[in-house]
Amino acid sequence: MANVYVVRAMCIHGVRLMPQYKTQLRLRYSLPSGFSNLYFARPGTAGISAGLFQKLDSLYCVGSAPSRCIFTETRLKNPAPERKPDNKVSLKRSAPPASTTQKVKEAGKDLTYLIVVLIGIGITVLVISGGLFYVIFKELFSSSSPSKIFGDALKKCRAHPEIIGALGEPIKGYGETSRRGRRRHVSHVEYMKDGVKHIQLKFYIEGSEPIKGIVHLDAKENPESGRYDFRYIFVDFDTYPKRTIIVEDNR
Amino acid sequence: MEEYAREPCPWRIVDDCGGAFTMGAIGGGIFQSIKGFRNAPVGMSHRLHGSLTAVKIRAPQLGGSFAIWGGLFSTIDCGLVKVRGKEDPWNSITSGALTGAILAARNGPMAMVGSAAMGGILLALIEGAGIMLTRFASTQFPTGPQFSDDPTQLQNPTFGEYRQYQ
Repeated sequence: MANVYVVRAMCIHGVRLMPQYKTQLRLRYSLPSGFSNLYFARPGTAGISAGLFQKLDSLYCVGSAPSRCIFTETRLKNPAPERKPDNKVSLKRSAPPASTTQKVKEAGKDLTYLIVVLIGIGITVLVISGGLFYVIFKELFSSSSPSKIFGDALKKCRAHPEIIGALGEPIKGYGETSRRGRRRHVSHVEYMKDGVKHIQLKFYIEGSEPIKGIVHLDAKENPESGRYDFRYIFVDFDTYPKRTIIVEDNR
Repeated sequence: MEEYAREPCPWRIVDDCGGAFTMGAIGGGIFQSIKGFRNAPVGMSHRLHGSLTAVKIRAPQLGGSFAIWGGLFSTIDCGLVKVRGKEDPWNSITSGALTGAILAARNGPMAMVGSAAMGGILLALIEGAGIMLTRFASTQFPTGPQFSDDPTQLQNPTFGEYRQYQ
């Protein structure tokens, strides 16, 4: 049986510890290995096995006569459990193999769980995410979305020399300011006139000059291509007297 | 109100960071208090003490993660607005993707791509929800077009500074 001993040794030699006598000490105090061995060790270290002690480098206690050493030896309460001679790990099954009715019940339970999971995934993915993705795709990619029209109009304004002269480069455009400070929503009104869809848009434009401009535009849907053609685009500036630049007029 | 005294953009970063921290701290506080309560030894004083300890330790950590996400997202968003010069949903989606990528940078390129995809999709969903909300809110007040006839500003395009309107 492997016993684990905690050997505490305190050695006092004069006032200093002298390590150079450690080999002497080992020879002097080594006992036959069959017996419980006491070894010098640093105060507080636990001795793990008999052979290991001889590898310890630093021994506090040293040899000669005037030294006095006190040993205490204790045995740890919970040493490592012994291994069985056969190297099997045994697992006891908690239940006997299920009978047919139990198997059917388990399968039924699994099926209901599966149905619940599928319903949840269906609602989340198809309805909510699908709806939101549809909205965002329509907004970003369809050519009839207000964001797209805003982008095209802004490009036209940026290329117009009068506006560049009035505002100064670089020109930036934005929509309505929401509570959180984001300015992504572009205010627009869609209406029908003579059976054709029209849209009116308003956004703000700014440059390096300190004046602000409001861009109004009206666009009509082209029935063949499905895209919107601009009817007019003009910019109002907040200077005094009021100044207006007409970017495009296709009425 | 069309005009604020100041530009939203640099200050938006601080707003978003703080808002995200609050959300994370409150949500984390609620969850960790329940978790700490349940994982504590029997006895009401032990349980309350365990709950309080869990909240004190874990809730600020969750709040901090949220704050990093929110602050980085807002920073990239403002940067994109400055660079592109216009504000539209593309900015938010790209910012979400870049934030996810940067925050997963320690785990290697594949993890960055996955995290970027997740961030982009999440932001696309949030944007879609926001757009839907604003559209529904604005259609509640149906108004006709702003200029029922062609606007007066377009009447005489050849006149110069002598136009005086309203």
